[in-house]
Amino acid sequence: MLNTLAAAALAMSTIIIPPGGAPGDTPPPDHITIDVVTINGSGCRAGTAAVAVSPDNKAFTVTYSEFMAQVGPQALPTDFRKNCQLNLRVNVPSGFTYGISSTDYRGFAHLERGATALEKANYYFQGMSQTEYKQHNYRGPFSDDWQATDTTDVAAIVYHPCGEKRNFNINTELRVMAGTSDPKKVTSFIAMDSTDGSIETTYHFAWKVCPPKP
Amino acid sequence: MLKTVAAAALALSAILTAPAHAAPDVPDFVTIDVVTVNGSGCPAGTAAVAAADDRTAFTVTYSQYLAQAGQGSGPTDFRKNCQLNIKVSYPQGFTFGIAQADYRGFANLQQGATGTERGNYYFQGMSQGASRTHTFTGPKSDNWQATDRATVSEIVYAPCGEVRHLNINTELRVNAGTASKANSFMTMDSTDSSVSTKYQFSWKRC
Repeated sequence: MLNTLAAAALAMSTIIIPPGGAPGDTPPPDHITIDVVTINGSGCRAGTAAVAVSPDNKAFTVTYSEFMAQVGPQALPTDFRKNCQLNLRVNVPSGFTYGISSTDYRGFAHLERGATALEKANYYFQGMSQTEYKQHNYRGPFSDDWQATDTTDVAAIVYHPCGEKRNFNINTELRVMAGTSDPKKVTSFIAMDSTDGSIETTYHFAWKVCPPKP
Repeated sequence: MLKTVAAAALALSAILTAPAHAAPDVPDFVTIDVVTVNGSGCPAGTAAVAAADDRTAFTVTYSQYLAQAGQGSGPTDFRKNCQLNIKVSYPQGFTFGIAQADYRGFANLQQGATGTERGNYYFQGMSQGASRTHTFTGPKSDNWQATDRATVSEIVYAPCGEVRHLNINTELRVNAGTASKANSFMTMDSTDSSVSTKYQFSWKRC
């Protein structure tokens, strides 16, 4: 749940909650767009990630060539956890605020019996300490593609503080734990192939009107 | 505590001490720009800077900011640093203070090992600095987050009428302690800093 962030943002920005409290009732006058500003992390060093943005700037796909965490005889002690952080600029029509709604993660995992892996995404705005996360766990034996989707319902959505421009950060990470498997003999790994983010004013985004500036 | 720098800056600039609530005449635009990012933990090509459109906040992400000790590590790997040099632009007649920086990363610390994140803050040309330290103790294998937040009374004031870049030198240290055979490490994924006339910055008239 992203309730904490939502509460914090609400407290800071004095967003007016419309009577009836049904976010999404008021569509924005124009569409919103997103730009990927930076991609960086131990799992996506410079030159290893590619970004494809849809023509309407409402969705994007990031693909990775070496976003992989592993344990095993050939792995370094620091290889069991890798991260990749996306910094997103969300362009919002004036007078409206927004929340992020849906992200899809896809990849492959090979986990020996006894090993476990997780995909975790931390979500936060620049300048806000509050961090929310969603986590998906996988358990060996497993050797197949995996897919995880993080969605938030309307009541738990993250609202952008009115009147300030803050980029949104999504820090994704992959971890593998050897568990009861023997990392001196067998390798377990989890890789992320792609991250897809999208915003839809119809159902992926909720809107609230900011108060007029004094 | 940032009181050292606050005191020094106050002495240098003869700022009128205003009540904490005397901030309604705050100017509109305070902006921060990252001028350089460099250090053993963030050599060229390994850090990315994302600035907010209104230049009141930025995020720096790192691809190899990792300190480690114990198995598999070199003798100099236990301490890494990354220094940010930040140009702060503010309207004439006002001075400023940094209020918040957020550090986020991951730590894998064996039982008996410790990891430390330290932020050293100082203005160009001023010997006085301030630092804050956050220590994590093993066993731990999870994300960590640290926030350096200065209250209004202990904020860092830039000398009025001077333009000085702010330096934030962050460092990570890992001490294997009694777990010298196993590997312990600590990474920094991101550094976020922001200035806000509403809730993350305080103002005093020169």
